[in-house]
Amino acid sequence: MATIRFEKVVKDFGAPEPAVKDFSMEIPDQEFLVVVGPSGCGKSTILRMLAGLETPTNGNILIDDQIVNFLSPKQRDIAMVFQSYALYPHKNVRDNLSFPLMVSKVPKEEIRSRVLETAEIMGISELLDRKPKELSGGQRQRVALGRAIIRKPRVFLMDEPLSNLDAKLRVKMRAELKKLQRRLKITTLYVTHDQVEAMTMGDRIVIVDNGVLQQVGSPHDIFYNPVNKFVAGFIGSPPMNFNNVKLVEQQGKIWLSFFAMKLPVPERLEKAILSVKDEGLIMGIRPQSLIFEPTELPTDYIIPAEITVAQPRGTEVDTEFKIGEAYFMAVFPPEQDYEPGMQFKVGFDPKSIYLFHKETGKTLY
Amino acid sequence: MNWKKNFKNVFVAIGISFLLIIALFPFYWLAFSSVKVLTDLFEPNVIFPWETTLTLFNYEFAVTKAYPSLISLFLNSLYISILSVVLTLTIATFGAYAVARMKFRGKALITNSILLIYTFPGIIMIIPLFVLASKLGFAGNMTGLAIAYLAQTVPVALYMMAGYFQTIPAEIEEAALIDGCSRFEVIRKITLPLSLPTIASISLFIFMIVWNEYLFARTFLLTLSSDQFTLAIGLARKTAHLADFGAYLASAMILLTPVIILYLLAEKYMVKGLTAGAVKG
Repeated sequence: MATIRFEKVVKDFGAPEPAVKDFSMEIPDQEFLVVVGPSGCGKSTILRMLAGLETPTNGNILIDDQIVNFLSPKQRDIAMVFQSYALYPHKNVRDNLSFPLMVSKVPKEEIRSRVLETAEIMGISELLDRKPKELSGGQRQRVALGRAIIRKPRVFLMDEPLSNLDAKLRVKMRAELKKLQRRLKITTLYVTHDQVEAMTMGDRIVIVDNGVLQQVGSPHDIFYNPVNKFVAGFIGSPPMNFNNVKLVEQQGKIWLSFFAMKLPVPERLEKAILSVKDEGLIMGIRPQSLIFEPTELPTDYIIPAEITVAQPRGTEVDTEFKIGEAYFMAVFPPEQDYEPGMQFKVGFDPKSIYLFHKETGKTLY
Repeated sequence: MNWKKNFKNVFVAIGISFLLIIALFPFYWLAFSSVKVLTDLFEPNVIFPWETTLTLFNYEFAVTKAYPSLISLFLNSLYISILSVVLTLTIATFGAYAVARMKFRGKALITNSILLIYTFPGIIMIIPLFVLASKLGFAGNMTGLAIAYLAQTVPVALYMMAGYFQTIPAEIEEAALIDGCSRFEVIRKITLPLSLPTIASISLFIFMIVWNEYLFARTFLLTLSSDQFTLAIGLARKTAHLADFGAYLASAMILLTPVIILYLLAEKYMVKGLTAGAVKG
């Protein structure tokens, strides 16, 4: 039960640029919030400041409206899962689980029953007498999670907890973690560099780049309404296609032109375009919004293209094609053979064309 | 491939045996001679235990007649050595932890000075240390000697320990902080238990330095009566004007025994501890 608030938090390690700049946001009680960004963007620093392992240079961090800037981790009642699990190598699983309770002097009887209960939840009852080095990666992960939940803390912090697991287990643990969080109803801050993890797990997602908060929103919101080019390119796999375009006026309409090709400016963006002067624009379109031999699009949005590479993935085919000298990545249905050199017609779904300012990277609405 | 490997193994075995014989023969000779009967002591043809009569007479004679204060010398040495080990470990643990984990102004300077002191031979330090100790009033007693030894032992211990602490992932300590420990509890409950191998090897190392030390002991205990010496200086002093070799050999064995016992006890940690710093934890 806890709400968390960051108020203009700055962390400066003395490098030319602060690691975190003016970071403000609020996390409501029981939310599963994912902080995502490229490595070195400051997301772990944000988490560590909340944990009490780093002190903010400026600004305030509040848990339940209490400023915690200078409280030790101990006084904050939080639990954290580390990327490396950070189990105590000299203690067996039972002692690892009971350690946080022992430290806070919970009676022995209660410790025993809570260890058993937690082991049951995490499915590690059989492993209680083993040492961490005798466990597999997945098992260590469960022990680390168990050690975090056993205390019933106010806040959960997770720092890339799944990135040391193999791909299959990671997918499974994602679902489990989410279920666990729903069940325990504990406010959770989850840090990852993996946008798929962010999309699948977060109630809301925070995107951070260069120590600056770029956007906060639901996964759907972030995916469909990215506020800038960075967010648009970071979320989504394969990533969004970007192309420099120029505005051209012809036949009483404004067109986006690139490499002697042109597309009409989608209707919803016609107004926004008016504010743009000479500075160039960047057009973005997701691979999923490029349509192979479309039948239902206005003909202006259909352009001849040539396939360069096709990578089948079973349910879909990641296909690279070119229009003139502009290369695009598209996700096409698998029913068709896509041979390199094949000529075809590609459709640009006007609903999914994004335009960004070239200078600022901001999305045009 | 296989015969090549075997061939190599044979050579390795021969080489090791050769070195072992060179290293161990003096010790064997000492141990064996200390239980020979006096009449065979200078008999070069008596090489194996079954060629003579074995007796503990030399030991009995050493303790009762030749060096009547042997037991108290032994206890003195033990007291100074153990005190030195305890003091060294206490100081070095906190120092090493600070060097390995904390950020503070002048850290590089301090770390480098420790290494520098480590390279000073004892003889450079003995006079200033003795002057300092006399002014502070702890020259001329055993506890004072143990404190003086810190100048030699702390740098080594601190350096070894800091190296080991650095191999312990910081995340484990952070996990303990978040689990509710204070920094001091982290050291006590996590860092030190994880460092047991290194602590064992450092303890043994310090014990050996102090147990066998001559120069400092000779200087600091000079003014005391001879039963207040350490074993090393006590024996050396007596032997200078006593030619009872049987008793001398037995006493030398007594001098050696604690170190050997400790080594055997700590051996498995010793290997771990000495290699731990080199390999990524």
